[in-house]
Amino acid sequence: MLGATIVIAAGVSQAIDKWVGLPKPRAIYRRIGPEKGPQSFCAGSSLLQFALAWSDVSAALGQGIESWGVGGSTPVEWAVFQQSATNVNCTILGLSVYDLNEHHLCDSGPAIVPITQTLQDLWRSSPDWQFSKRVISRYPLACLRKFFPTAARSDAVLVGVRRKFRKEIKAASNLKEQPGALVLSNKPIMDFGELTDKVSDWSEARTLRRVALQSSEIRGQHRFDGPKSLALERILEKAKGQGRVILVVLPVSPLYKARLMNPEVVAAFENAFTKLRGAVPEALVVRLDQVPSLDSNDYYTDLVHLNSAGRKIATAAFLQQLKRGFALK
Amino acid sequence: MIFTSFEFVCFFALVLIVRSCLPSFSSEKWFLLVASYLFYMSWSIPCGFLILATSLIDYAVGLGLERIADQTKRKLLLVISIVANLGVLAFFKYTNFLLDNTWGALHLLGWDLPHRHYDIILPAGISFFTFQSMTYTIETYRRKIKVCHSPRDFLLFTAFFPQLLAGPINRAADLLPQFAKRVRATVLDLETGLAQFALGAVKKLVISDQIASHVDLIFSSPGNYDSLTLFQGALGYAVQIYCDFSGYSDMAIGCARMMGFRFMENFQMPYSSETITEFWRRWHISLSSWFRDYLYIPLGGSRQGPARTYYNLMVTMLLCGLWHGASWNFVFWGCLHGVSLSVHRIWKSWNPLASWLENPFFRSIWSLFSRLLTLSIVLIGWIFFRAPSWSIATQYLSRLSAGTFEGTRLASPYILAALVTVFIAHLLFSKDRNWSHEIPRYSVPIRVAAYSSLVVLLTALGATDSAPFIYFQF
Repeated sequence: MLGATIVIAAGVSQAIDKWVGLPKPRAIYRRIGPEKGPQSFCAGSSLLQFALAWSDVSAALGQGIESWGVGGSTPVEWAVFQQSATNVNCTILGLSVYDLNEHHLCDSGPAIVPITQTLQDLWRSSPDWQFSKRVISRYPLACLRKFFPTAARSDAVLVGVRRKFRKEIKAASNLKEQPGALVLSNKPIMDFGELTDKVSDWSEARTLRRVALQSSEIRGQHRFDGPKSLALERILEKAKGQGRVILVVLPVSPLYKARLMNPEVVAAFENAFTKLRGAVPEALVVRLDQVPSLDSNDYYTDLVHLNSAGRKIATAAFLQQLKRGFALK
Repeated sequence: MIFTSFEFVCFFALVLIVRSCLPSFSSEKWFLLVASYLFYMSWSIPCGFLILATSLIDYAVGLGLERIADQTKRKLLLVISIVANLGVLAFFKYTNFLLDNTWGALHLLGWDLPHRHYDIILPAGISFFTFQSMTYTIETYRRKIKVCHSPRDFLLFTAFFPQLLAGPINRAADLLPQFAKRVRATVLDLETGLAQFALGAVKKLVISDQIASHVDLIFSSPGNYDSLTLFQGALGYAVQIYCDFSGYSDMAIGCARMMGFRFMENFQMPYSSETITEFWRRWHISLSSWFRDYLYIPLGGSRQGPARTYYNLMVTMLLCGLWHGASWNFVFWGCLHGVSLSVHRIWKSWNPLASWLENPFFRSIWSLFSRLLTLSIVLIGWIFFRAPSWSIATQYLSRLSAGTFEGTRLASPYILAALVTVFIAHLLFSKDRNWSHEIPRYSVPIRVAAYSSLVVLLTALGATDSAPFIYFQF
């Protein structure tokens, strides 16, 4: 009877997965620009991917750019992706308060990062037991998900069900329904289309809900001294040997800063960044988080992602720094 | 290590397997005792010594009560046990509350003394294990149970892991005899226990944890919301605390049942109660019956006239409120229930509508009205119970009662779905049914369908990150 129960429940779980189309825990390779010759490796989450017009960046660099993406990826996953980028002479690394926060974990991490690496990083950074438990418990969960793909993904299931129903009644826009992050398209091109939503248009109720959701995801905390910082050190170490390094510090919305950050978090992030910066003194640093015109909720499609208008400003600022920085070198 | 965690599932599976392999009953009890202390010490190692110390005091008191015949000395021993248990509880739970209020009172009188506040960590489950241990000494004093001579059995009684952190508060008369004779779980025990555990997990992970963030949001700043949102928040909390605590109780009872032990039921569809008296017979049964048997009745119960009865009710409920936490919100919550119970008692003895209630139509209308009235009182109580401070609770209640449409409107489909589920369950199904006990009586296909549904609910809609159970803080 127990066997029959598990088989039936697993079957239903698989069917729900298929019906709502839950995101798969596998990396999607994307690229843009010339395929021949050395490439630039783009190491960053959707924050970096959405922040820049990659065709313009590729043209400015005069070479192709390649990246691997998975929903909510973090430096720990980027370090693994970096192993796949073989013909690279430039690394563009996107950092932000959101990406570097150790409390923000990638749901697909166990499918990408070997458990030995995770254990090694945890051992070296020696965080508290609660955090370690949270990181390690994703691995048995990943095994469970082979049979029950919906396990511990209730947010995605509920959003998927709502999207399905809305689709049925032909309601518009499914981007608004995402619980915490945007869904990247499966196209192998680094072009993420137009995003016109603005955080400044959000109702107070929506704002409260999204901030609460974000806060619960990161346990209302920020810390920058765990496995992610070790992964970043690995990325930078390899990148240094491959060629040029561009460190892009990405902005988050003023709403995120106001509701989820405080001066201690800012100081901790700056400390962590200074430490990283010290590892690659020759790197070009682009502080998009210090571009004054991006300090408005009009330029964000959610708490952390820039929209198309924000992307335009960010790309201009990035290209300007790129030209200036590399011309100086 | 909470019941909904992966660690607990591994821990419990290991306990079941190892226990079934042990050759003797004695080794089995030693093993359960060690497992229980390991379980408790996974929260805090020093607190393990605290429960050990209080248990040993009560064990010694029990032996003393058996040997000593002199009533005065026996009373003294009982006082020692009560002072030890309540003293520990008072120190950990009420020290800062007493200091703060004493300082506040002196400050009002013009005496400015330095304000002290100590960082005292509340040991998990302290309110539960002290109360459970006291049932032993009180019943031994009353000569209603046999004295436990085995320190191992007694330590296991106070620290048995399924009930250690948040009950049910088992009576010594019920649980100790179960450690006297070896029990083996039957297939029916395993199935019933597993079903009850799964049902509890669904209540906790699928309902309570899913609506918790929405309820927290509303209670964090009630001044921002309109009345409809606040009403939704109050109803949401009623559902959250019920599913959280009854879910925990179901899981505890289910764990024990899978090992062949029987715990008392703790909840029986409380929100379908027609009166506040009935509510307390269905809500946290092990605690309400503890207060009835060890406080209300010893105070005189209802045997010494109406005035004394109301006084006894008020004292009992006030202390019940304080048992939940050291704050004026809990005192008010207790008072509200005490007053409601007294008013219900007056109404019962007077009841001018008695003749009308013989009419079935009027009876059904009255039943609906009574349920709504009871629910309203309970909801008002929950606002004070949940609000982080007195000022937030009063602000919540005043905005809610003002019927204002100014402020943010937050419509949470999760809360609405949870409300509908819980209230339909309360209204449609018989109050005294226990589904997990009933399912094993059906044919195999129906059982497989029922259990599969529970697993599907857990795997598709269970919260990603489970929050600690609400009653762990008490």
